[in-house]
Amino acid sequence: MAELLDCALDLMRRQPPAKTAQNLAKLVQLVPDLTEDLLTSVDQPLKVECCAVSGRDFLLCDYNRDGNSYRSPWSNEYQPANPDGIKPSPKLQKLEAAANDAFDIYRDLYYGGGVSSVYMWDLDDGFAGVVLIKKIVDEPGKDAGTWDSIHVLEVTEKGKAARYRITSTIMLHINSATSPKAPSINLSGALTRLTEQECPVDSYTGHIANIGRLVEDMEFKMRDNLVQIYFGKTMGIINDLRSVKDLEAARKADALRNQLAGRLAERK
Amino acid sequence: MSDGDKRDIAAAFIRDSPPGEINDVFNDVRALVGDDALLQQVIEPAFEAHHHEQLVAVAVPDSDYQVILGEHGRVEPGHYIDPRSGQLLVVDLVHQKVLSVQPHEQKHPQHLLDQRSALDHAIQEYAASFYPSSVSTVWATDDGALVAAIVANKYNPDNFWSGRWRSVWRIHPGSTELTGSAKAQVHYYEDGNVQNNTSREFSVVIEALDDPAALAAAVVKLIKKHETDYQIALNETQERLSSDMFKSLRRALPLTRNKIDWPSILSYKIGSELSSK
Repeated sequence: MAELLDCALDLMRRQPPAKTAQNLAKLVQLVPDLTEDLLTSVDQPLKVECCAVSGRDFLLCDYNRDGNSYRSPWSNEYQPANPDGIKPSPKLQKLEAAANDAFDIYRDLYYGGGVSSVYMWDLDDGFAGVVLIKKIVDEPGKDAGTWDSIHVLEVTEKGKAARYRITSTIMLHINSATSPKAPSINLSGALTRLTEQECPVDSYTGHIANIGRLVEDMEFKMRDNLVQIYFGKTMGIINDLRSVKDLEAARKADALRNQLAGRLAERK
Repeated sequence: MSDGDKRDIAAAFIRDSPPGEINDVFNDVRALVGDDALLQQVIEPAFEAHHHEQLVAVAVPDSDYQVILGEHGRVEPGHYIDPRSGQLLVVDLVHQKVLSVQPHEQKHPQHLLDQRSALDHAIQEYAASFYPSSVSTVWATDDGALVAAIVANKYNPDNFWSGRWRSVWRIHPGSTELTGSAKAQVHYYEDGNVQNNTSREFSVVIEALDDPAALAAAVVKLIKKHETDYQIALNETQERLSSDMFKSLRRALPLTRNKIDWPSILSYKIGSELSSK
């Protein structure tokens, strides 16, 4: 089964990122035994739902799902109602609520819009969580883009310190404005990075500052990476496939220059 | 799940293979389907659809050139015309190689074949000037048109990327319309999966010409202009997306130009309620 999962993940890495959700559904049909593994290891674009209690939007992922219901971080309730749905312990739920408020500020400062959600769950020697941010830019007739950040955290508490292991994935889809005369550009994909760090924790809320700093640093680096890969790298390859300038003419001009230089040298 | 559904899924995955990665995709699909007999039924149509769409080329035995496996060259499954030599190539679609070369009778009028040959030479010369490494093929079609295709590939699996440029142009000799498309695709997959797909369709007015040399020169002059304009626009659009779109999605830093002071956010907004418990 492990070998099959590797094949499925390799396949997903080669298929069009714009079709991730539908291809994942196909894979699950093809190999039902891989369903659980695939849903946890393949990131999908985040869906948004409105919290019936608070009226605020929240993000859906496998980590706040129980059955067919999703837990809102603003009300701690499942939608549709799921009385047996798993919830974090009361202590962790307070930390989760505080993290949601903090990342809401982070989201506003960096994204100036969008939606964020943080979910946490208890582990034997600490806790785990996920920080999600989604931003959509979509105005009629203009370039469109969607950004999905998914930071999965594993926190191991060790007295006055804690070890943070964060797997960060950013999914980014960009479509140029369509017009008959302009080239159509579709850039889509995802990058994943891993970071691990031990930090001192002076109080329980100290976890949020540590997680916040690690996520902020990672997003800073990954944003830079994304610009380099989406534009620098891919355009560099396209410009290597075809040249804007006439290569043959440039070769001839070079040859002529060398020839002239040679003759001048002979004269001396 | 029915066998038909399995076949459809396998075929769709194969067709969507990124440049130069169809064998990797096929190996994955083969393991996941786990039924070679079933897969055998989709291999030929799926590889054929992929090769036609992606302009996959094969080396012609005992020659120094390659031929694109385009829909216009297909005579029957796995059999393609090499329009340059007029021979028939029997092709192994899965391994993308020529198994044997057979004689073939050309049905087209000689004048159309002369026009094809002139355009073929002009396109090769043009491609050598603007593509560092490429393959081009020009077909005469059953409805009396000429179709020219250019494909340039760069595969670098060691550094996890691949890229392909495809151009296809079509003209009915004597008509005043030249149509075409140019597409580029890049796949970057180191610790991720990023794909850049760009395209542009063209419909260009051209002088009605019948003389093979004059027609070839006029067509290539327009192809050169429009492909170059497209590439320049592509670079400009990418420039715009990389600056404006990135800023609209996520700033590099908050407007204060400083990273966030997390302890103060916490004490300001929530520290009090948490510690007051």
